[in-house]
Amino acid sequence: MMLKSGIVLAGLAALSVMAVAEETCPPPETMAALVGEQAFTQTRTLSGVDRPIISNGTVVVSENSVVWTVTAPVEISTRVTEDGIFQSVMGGPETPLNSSGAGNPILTETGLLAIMRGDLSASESYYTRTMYELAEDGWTTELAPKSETVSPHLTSLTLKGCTELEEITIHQPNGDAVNVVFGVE
Amino acid sequence: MDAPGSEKPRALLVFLALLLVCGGILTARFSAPTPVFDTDLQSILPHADEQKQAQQVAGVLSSVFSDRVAFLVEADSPERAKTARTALQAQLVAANLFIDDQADTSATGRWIFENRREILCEASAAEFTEETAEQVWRSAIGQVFGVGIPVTGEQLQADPFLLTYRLADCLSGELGAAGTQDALLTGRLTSPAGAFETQSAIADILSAWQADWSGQGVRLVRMGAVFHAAHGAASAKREVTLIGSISLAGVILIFLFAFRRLGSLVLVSLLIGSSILAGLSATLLVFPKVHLLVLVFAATLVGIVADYAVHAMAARFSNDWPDAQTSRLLIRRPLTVSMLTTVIGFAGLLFLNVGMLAQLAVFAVSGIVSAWLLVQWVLIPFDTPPSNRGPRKQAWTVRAERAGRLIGYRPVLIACSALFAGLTVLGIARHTTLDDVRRFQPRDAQLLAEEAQIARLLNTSPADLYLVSQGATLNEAKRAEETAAGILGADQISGARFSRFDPSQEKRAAARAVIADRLEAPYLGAAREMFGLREAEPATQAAAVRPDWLNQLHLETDDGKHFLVAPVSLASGPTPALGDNAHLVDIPSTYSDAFARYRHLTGVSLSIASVIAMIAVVLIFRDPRSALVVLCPCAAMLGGIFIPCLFGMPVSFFSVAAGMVLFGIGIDYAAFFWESRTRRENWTLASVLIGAATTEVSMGLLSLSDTFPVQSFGITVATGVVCALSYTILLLGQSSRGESLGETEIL
Repeated sequence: MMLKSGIVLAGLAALSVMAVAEETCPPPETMAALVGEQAFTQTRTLSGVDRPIISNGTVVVSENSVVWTVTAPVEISTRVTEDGIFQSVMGGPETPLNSSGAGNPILTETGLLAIMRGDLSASESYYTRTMYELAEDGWTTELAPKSETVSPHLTSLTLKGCTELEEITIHQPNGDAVNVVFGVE
Repeated sequence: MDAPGSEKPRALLVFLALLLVCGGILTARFSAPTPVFDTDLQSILPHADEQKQAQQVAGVLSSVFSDRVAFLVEADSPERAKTARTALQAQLVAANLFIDDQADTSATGRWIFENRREILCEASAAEFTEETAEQVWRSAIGQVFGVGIPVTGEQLQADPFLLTYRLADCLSGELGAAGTQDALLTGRLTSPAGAFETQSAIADILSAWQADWSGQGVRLVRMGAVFHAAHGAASAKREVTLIGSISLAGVILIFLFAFRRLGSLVLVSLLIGSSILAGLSATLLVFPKVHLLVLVFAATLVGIVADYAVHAMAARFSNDWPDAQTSRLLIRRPLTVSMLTTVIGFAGLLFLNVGMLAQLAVFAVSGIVSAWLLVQWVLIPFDTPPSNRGPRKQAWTVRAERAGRLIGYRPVLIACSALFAGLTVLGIARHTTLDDVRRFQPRDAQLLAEEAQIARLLNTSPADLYLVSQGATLNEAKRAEETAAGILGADQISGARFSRFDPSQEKRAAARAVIADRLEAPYLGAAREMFGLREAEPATQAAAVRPDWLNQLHLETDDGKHFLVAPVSLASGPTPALGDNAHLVDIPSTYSDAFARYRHLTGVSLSIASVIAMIAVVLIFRDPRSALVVLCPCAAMLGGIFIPCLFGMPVSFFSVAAGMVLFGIGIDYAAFFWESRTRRENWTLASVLIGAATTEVSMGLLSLSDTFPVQSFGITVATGVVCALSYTILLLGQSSRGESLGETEIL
């Protein structure tokens, strides 16, 4: 009898935790778009490199473009539009980034921009969802790419967030990772 | 008299022995693992010689480009197009027919990485200025600190300036933007595009794929030589099938009208089949492979072989079916003269040192000799007389005499012959030639439109022109190619160039020096500090392996020479001087040269054969006037080739090849007429008329074709046979000496 009531209580407790999480963090499918200017911090953890490579800046997501502006340690502006990707380094002229270099499939063929606009369903064309966790402080989901063009550059994407996207981690095949946290400068 | 019964078993034995020998040879050859039929158009090119080596090399190496294919899948949604494209790629790869360009991607990437410090995006080291170096450095910073770009630690340690990415960008940009199109499938065929098996296999796969996808609104756009070749072959096949069916019906009707016996038709069919079988067996005994075009031309033996059978049967019909030995006596001499002279004509091809024509010679000679033997020792014994031979002979005689009166009217013969001779002279004076393969068959407009659509997407154009560079060493060939490419200009090279991806030692050294001086010296320290890289020299370059597609642009010949080939899309205008070791080679011109050479050689061969045949005929008949036996067919041959020129049909290899057939047929008519004149026989005219009629409906009907080679062949035969009849009857017919067609006299 004691055992039975214990299980019931535990079940109720678990349901109440989920109910709280659902109240505060809706599923990622309903997350809001990153609106206006957002601060971000990118941390590259690369094998064979002594220290993480960290850069800070702001990102502005709009209907037609996403502009990433790195302010430290150097000034870099990367503008992603339907016409292509353009970059200016340290106040230099803006030059187009071509398709094969710089692994631009990450920016153009991964649905990453759609995710930033809050449209997780758009990612279904590009990814298979391999993990989904809901915790009190938010959700975590992991996506594996379907595209053969992208998979040599990207093993998986881990997204974290609550009402909106808060963190993206790009996992590379060799174990390297690129982590972008929004709202932190 | 009937043929003695004892000859039938012997005839059967001869026939079975022939079938057994041929069957044995063919079984042995067809059971061998090596293919028996050569279907590659490359094989018809003349043998290599010093002057033609560049063309030969271009011919071999251009197959790399000829074998390339591209498909664009169009659909309502990008996802559906991508799925359909993936399905097509899987089907082509599963059939071992296709290598996707993407398959070489990692090898190409590795090659570029290993050579990143020795290949420049710029055309020369001088163009890699201090400003360029600064841009490279800034770009590396942007990629490392910028967002989302997946640089790995190993890459950054080995390549702090990310030169690999830069190089991949500029080289792929030069080659077009195929990689960015999800619905585009590019690659190369694993077997020659000119081979009929390849064309057929591709067509089967595309049909199956379209059956799956066309209902879903998916459309396929194609680019590649294989589709033009397949289209040409398919339309030729359609025509030949249609014309062939009409011809077959025509021949059956002629035989039934002339002999009124189904058995005659069966015997002739068996004779033709056996002769072709013998020809094929002999050719496969001598040569490792037979080209399919040889079979096409050798099939024209049908006309000659059928004539032999018609002579034998007509002689027996007219002479009340004598015994086999007497029947043979009736035809032996003219048949032998005809056989010998035709054999001489075809055997002449053996001495031209052209593989395909040598095969044709063996095929034709063995086929004709077999027909000569089979007619006498198999067909005659099996040609049993009809039960009502009296009325049959009477009806035949009436028909033969009626035909004789109709065609033997001298004023008409004189007028026709004079007209033909005049037209021939005029044709010779005004003739033109056509050897240009591009004009043999118009290209399909739909395919050209599809090709243009993909070419726009790939930023390229289909190339028929190639830059061939050579050297005693590979490095020398690379230097020659680099120099020529510099003269032509980078924008004139319409595809991959070997030395662009694997430069000469000199160019590599210059690139190494300029990267060290202008990039590494000023910025390497800063890069290490900024990116947190360890104090180590960039990794030592491993010996990289060239990707397969790059190796295919290089050929080392048996004498140790190295050749490189690159496609060129040169605007019209004078060809610039490219140096001693580089040449521009036009592939269609190479084929056109081959056909011009074949036309010339066949013409020479025919002239020599005519002279030899004339000597042989005079020696056999021991009468100088018997030279007419060769002169008549020669005049007919000239008429067949040159009269059509007055109506816009140029002289080509195909019309001269038809001239060879005319030579054989014409001598056959003339020899029989000569013999009949001597023996005062009345069956020759009917026999020749039946032969001529079957030739006109079998080969002459080919003149209705829309495909130039087939049409040219058909028109030549159609015209030449009429000339041959006219000249022969006028000059060698019995009435030419005022003799009347009287009772048959058998000697």
